[in-house]
Amino acid sequence: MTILPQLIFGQSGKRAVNGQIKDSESGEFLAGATIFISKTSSGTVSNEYGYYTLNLPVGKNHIRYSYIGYNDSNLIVQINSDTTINVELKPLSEQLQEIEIKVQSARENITSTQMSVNKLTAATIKNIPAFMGEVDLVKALQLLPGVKFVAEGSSGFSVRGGSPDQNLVMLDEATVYNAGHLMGFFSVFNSDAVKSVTLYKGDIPAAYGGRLSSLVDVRMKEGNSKQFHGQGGVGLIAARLLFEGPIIKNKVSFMVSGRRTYADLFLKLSSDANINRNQLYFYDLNTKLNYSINENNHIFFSGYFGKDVFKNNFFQMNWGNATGTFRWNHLFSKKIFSNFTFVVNRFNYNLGLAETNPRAFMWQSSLTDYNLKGDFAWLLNSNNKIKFGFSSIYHNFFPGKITGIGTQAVISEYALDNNYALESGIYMSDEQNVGARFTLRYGLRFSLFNNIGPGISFHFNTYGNVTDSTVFGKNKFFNTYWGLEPRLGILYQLNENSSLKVSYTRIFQYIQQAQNSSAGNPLDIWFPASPNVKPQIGDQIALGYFRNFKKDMFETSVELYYKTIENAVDFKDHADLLLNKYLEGELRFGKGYGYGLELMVRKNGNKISGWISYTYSRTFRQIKDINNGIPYPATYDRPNDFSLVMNYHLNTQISFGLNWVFLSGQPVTFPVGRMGIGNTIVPIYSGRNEYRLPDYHRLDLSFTWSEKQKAKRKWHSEINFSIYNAYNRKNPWVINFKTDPNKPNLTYAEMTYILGFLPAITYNFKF
Amino acid sequence: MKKVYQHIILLTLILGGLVSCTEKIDIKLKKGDVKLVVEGYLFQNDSVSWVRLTKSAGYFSDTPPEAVKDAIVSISSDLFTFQLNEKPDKPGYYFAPRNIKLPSGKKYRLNIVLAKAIGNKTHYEASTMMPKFNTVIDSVTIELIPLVGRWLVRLYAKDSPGKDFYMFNSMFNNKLITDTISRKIVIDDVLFNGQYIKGIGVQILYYREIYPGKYYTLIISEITKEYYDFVTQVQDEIRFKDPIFSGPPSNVITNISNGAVGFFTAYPSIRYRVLVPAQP
Repeated sequence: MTILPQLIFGQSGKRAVNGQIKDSESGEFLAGATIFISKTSSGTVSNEYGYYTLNLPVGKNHIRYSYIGYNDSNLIVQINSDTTINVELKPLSEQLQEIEIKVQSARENITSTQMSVNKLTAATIKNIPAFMGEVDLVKALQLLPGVKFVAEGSSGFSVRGGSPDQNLVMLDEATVYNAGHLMGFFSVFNSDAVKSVTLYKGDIPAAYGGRLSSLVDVRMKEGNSKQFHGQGGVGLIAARLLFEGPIIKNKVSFMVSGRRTYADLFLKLSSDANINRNQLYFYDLNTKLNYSINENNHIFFSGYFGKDVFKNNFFQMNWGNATGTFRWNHLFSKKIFSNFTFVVNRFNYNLGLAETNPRAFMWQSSLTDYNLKGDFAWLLNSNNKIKFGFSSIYHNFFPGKITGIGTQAVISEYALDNNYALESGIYMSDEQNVGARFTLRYGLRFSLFNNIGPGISFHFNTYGNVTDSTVFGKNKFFNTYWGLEPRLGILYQLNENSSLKVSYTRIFQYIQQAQNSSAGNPLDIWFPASPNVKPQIGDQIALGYFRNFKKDMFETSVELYYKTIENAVDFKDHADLLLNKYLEGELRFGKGYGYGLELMVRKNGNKISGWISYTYSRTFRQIKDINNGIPYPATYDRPNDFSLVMNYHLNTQISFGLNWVFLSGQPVTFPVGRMGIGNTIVPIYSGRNEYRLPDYHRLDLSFTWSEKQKAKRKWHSEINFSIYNAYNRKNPWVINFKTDPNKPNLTYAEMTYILGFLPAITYNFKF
Repeated sequence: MKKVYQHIILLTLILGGLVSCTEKIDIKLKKGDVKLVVEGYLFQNDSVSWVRLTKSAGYFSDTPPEAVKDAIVSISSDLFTFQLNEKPDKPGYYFAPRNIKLPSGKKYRLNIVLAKAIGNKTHYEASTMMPKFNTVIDSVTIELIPLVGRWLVRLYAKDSPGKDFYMFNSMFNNKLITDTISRKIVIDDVLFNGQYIKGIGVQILYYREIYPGKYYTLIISEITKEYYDFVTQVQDEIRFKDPIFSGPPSNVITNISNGAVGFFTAYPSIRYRVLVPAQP
């Protein structure tokens, strides 16, 4: 523990106290740690960089610093002037964790105006039974109330009925446009490199915008600034390795983490040339460097590079994300914290016939962003915490180009026009204490979107057929949208253990994905708002009751929400979204609405932990030209959603994990008739999504055996056994309607299920 | 054309290791209203034009489509009107006279008057254009792809300027091999508009469907965009659907009035004969 109080005697009133809270063993910042002042029964929490600021009365103060899984730190400090107090909290020892201890949680769920938010630490995520042994952040998010996977095994998810492209997924502030590997069966987040994830399900802070449904804020580890450390694992499909440590102790640290699947390495053992020349793998590389220049300045470089590769003699395809983030934390004073960020992120894919094929071709597409932002937090006085800032993103959409390779290529070149856009925002919000029980958070974000030339805007008739076009020159700002996005949060603290909250959020979404399937695929391009495509506008109001029991051992919440979407985007029947120059003609617009009730009981503790959640929700769309303009259940309308997540640490060596999930079946469109055309039976369908797939449920189990810790031994290992879908439920992935090949008039329904009973074993180690 | 690539990707990924199982499942489906189903073709030069009228049925009704008999079916244009006659041995099939010439660039209207109403309607109409065939065929080749044991037919031709939509069929031994709509290949010219077509694959045939040393015939038709959309939509709706690539199931477009389903179209075709080569 480090204390740097600067004591100046003889002053009265209040003084600013700031500082940073870190893990005493690794030097990692602790975001969301609680700072509680007994004299005033008030407090605050540390921000995402571990910084905190608060005003304290002059004189002697008792300050308690706490964080889940760490020993509290209690200080008695004489405050006479603005003071910096940096604190390092010690993680609870294994011995202590063995006992069911009293949990002093951050109580943020009770005291913060922020609602509709869930935070998961890396430790929580690792305790959840893993799909094929790969601990997966997105799969963990899918177990939270209001969050539903879009298809069995998929990394795509819907938040409160929104589509996957309405989720802003950020890794160290860089946008991740495609968070899936292997067609979405694994997420791009390597659990070793992840420190924490925060999911905002609608009450998105004013600092962020651009997506209607959620913000997923993933933070990578900073790198151990105290000592060199490594960890990794070998599973059924992938191996992982992470190194971290100080370059200059307590000053400069690094983290490098890699993951690669190796199924294709076994293919090389085959004597069949058609098999052993196949490549099928994905990899991730996470890197981070951080440098604490002095008390007031800290810089970070972080990067992510991931790719999926599939290649054989005939065909090749690869896709991936690359992100680079530079951040500079600067304290202008003890009351003003700032963070400046510059991000470059890119998603691209390439596919085509292998170069060895005389008629080879290559199909390329990408989306590149350059993002500059600044965020400021200013402790105006004891009752007002002001946040303000700006952001500006330059989008470069390269929707696609096919190029023939070689003289025999069937295609010479076919390219869609690039699109360029600038998405900017400024915001200000204030969190104001009004009396002892009320806290208000009110803010406004002003968002601005410009389409920039060179560009071409097509004109369409009411049927979506192109009639004319307008060409715009380089750097011409040819279309502008703007929006005022109010944010409001009201907290009424009923007593020490319970509170009521209300929030309202309006958000504009200016870019979206051309995804017509429920789960999506890497070829689904993103496209901007334009003269033909108005921004989607989302409004959401939520009401919540939050109560903790048994000294915060149990956190419970009930939330009700209602949301609407203006200019909701859907696609006409049989839309052609691939390499279509006139993509905008395939779009149809309308409105959406949804509502829901979310219940959650979360059990904190080291012996038994987990949560139970239940959500009842509905979500609908009403789009011109779809379903004859009649409202229909959206693809992600699954009314009942129940999750049970439980971890039981028997002792320091043995632990068990369990998930059970239940969801109403996905809405689908089934045939209600048939016609004979061209010697073929062709279905005649019901209205959009009039039917449902059978209900989905699944049980996952895990068992982890850890090697006994020995004081002088650095190497520590564990073996994890997991079972996905333990009772082998045949959950339909899809139902197709088919004609019997031997009896041309006989039709039947056929269910396809993809993930049955799936055991896995993973060996993990750290040193 | 682009869809071909999509299917290659899907197929390859499935082969690449996506493990899935299938089984039949009992599902109760509602039964929609009975509709008139129209399948009408005007051929410019190489076959007798015909129209087939049937009724739609419940999806699991395991019987052949019920023919709609005794209707009055006629075709009209600004040049002429003629009636199609139902053959006694083929109920529901109405054939045009053999000597009718159907010029390109003209609009043709189909008129149907039913003897007995379907859905309270007895009158149905549709119209279509007869496209012009401007593409110059250079040659057609056939090659065996040993890896998959299929014959691949390639087309070399000069695509005409402007939007073109093609349909390809195969004949062997005077028999239409591609006799179901799922086997017809339709493409647009978006990737080679106005250019020389350098051997694009236009048919994939099973190994035993044609034999070396005999003549194979490729039928190349210039079709309307509307019919291209109809065929691709039908093919979309009858192939395997999955959550990764497939859009929501949707009814296939129709150009028949009064709530009927099906399609009425017209197209010119040319036939290109080529000797099936000996196996390598």
